[in-house]
Amino acid sequence: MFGSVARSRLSPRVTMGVLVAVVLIALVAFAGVLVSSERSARGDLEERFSDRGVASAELIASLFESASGTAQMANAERYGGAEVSADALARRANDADNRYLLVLDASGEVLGGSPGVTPRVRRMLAARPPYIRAALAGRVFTLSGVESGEDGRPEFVYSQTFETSFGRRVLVAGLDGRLIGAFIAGSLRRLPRVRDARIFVVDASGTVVASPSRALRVGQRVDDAPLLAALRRSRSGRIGDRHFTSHPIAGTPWRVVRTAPNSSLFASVSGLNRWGPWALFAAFAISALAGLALGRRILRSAVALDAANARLASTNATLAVRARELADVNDALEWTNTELGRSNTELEHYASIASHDLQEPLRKIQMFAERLTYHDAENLSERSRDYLARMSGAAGRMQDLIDGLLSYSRLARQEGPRADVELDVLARDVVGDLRLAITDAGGRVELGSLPSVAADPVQMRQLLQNLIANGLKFRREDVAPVVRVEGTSDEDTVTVSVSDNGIGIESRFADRIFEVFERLHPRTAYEGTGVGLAVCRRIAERHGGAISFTSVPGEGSTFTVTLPRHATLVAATPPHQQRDPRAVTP
Amino acid sequence: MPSRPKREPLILLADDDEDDRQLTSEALGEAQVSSELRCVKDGEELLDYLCRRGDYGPGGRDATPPGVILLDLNMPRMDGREALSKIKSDPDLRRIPVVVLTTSRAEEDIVRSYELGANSFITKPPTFTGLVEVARGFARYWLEVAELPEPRPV
Repeated sequence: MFGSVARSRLSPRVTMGVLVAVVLIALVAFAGVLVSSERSARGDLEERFSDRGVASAELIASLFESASGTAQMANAERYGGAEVSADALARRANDADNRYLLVLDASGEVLGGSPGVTPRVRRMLAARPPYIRAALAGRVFTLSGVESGEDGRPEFVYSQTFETSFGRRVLVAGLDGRLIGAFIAGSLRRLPRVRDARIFVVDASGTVVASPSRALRVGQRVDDAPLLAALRRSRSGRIGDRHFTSHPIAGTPWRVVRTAPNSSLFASVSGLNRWGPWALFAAFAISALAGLALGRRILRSAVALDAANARLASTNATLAVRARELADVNDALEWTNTELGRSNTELEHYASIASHDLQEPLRKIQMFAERLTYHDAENLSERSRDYLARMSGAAGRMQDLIDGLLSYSRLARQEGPRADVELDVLARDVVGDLRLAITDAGGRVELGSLPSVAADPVQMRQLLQNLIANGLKFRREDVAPVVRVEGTSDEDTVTVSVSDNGIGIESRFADRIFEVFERLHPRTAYEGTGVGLAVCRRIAERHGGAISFTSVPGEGSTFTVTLPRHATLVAATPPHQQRDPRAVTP
Repeated sequence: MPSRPKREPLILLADDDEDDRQLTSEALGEAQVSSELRCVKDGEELLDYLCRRGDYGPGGRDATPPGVILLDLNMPRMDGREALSKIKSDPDLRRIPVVVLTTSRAEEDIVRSYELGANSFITKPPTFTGLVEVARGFARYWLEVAELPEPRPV
């Protein structure tokens, strides 16, 4: 099958090459898809991670922006007069938990301040840090990095511009670092969590502005030199097995920083999730390669199969030719067999018909001879009467011959009923029938114990009668005939022997005595037609048995019949041709 | 012998063999059977006779119904078996006794004849003396001992 496909399309080598190329291309494509999908999955994860940092930064910036926007108007009202009330500033600072509160004019001179405005604050103002400069330049609001307050506690400087009829003014507030840090940390907590991820806000120097974690306190320096160094270099990236992103918060020198272990961040594309597809890929690759190897072997065996198939086909063709020849011979044999069966049947039929047709004129000869004798005997000469008597005698013997032949040929066609025949009973009956002959001969018949046999009773009777009568008939002169009938049986076979003390049979006649019409003696010595023993043999053979004899000439003979105990009828003619009524009736 | 008030029954012999017809006729004569014997040559003629058709039809030859039929089995045209079968399956003819008289001694013929409804089966003896004996026995039984139905034209 493989062979025929390979032969009809491509040579095995080309087929194999194409297969290898296809498999390799499929493997490379598969690997490419895997790599790119993994890469894009990582990109997606990083982006999402980063986006949330951006969102946090924008949220924080917008909180300050909106607060500052609304405060601008109020501040202009509160501190827009010619004089800035120190009391109002003090009250306001107190209300808003500011460390201090002061107002600058456009040139940066202090117009008024709350009690918390210390020399340190004034020095800071005088130094004109960027968050003051930006406010003076008109930026709505600006925040400082983490500063150290009077008591060393962290502090942020918040500056805000507002316009008055006297020109631009700047509100500067000292914000409690921890309060602000806690407020910002609260907004950071709302972010979706990544396992072992950290988020915090730092200022430009790397000092913590806000952190939801207790491990990092506001004002503390981030104790993570590699991270700080990386933050200086880029906004996001990888440090060892961590990933980080940072996002500046508008209006401040702060940045929202997020870090996460790669294993957590890329959990969905790492471990089994990462290696699973590659394991599948490996399995696929191995299967494909194994398939190739198998294919190679199959192709090879296909070539071998092709050759074997070709040999088989030629052998088959040869066999088919032989089979046809055999079938022809068989047909011929069958025909011959049928012909033989037919000719056999026809022969039997002819024997029967011929016998009957012969019998008719014979009967007429006898009858008219009888009529002649009866009517005209006195008119006939002595010689004519003798002729007439001889003629009648000859006709009578012919009648006997025909009767014998008829009964013999009838044996071939008749399928007698099968019955359990008790041979000893049968033998006693036969002896009874022969009583006259026994008495005439002055002899006797001795019956031993005989078995029973499954056979046709009529034929068994005929068999015994013929053998016993023969024993009586072929007696020696002056010796009273004694016929002994004995039988034995075993599991399968029944044996009946009939012995006599008669003239015996010379062994050279052994082949002939069972033939029809075979006579060893002139009719003048022993009467008979020569059919008796032929009938015996036919009966024995019809029952699947056999007949044989042993003899010592001048002392006697023993005829032995063996029959299967459960005899099966052996058809002498094909069964379907038996019991044809035309073959039976005269 | 009781006197028979009825007409002597007719014996109808069906046999194709002229010799046999003559011998049977002579044997019946020898046995001093007084009944008339008529002969037909085969089964068809037998049925023509019995059914009064053909040569035996109206205006044809006399076809007095027989008291008993002697029937040979092997005849040309229609053999004895077929004739027997036809007679015994005919509601009017079946009452006529049929005695098969044949040379056959075959068991098959005997069984078959009785199966077809033969009233008796006799094998032709090989000698004339035997035939006379048979004729005497036949006549004694069928014409004297047995009561026959009144012959009735069909």
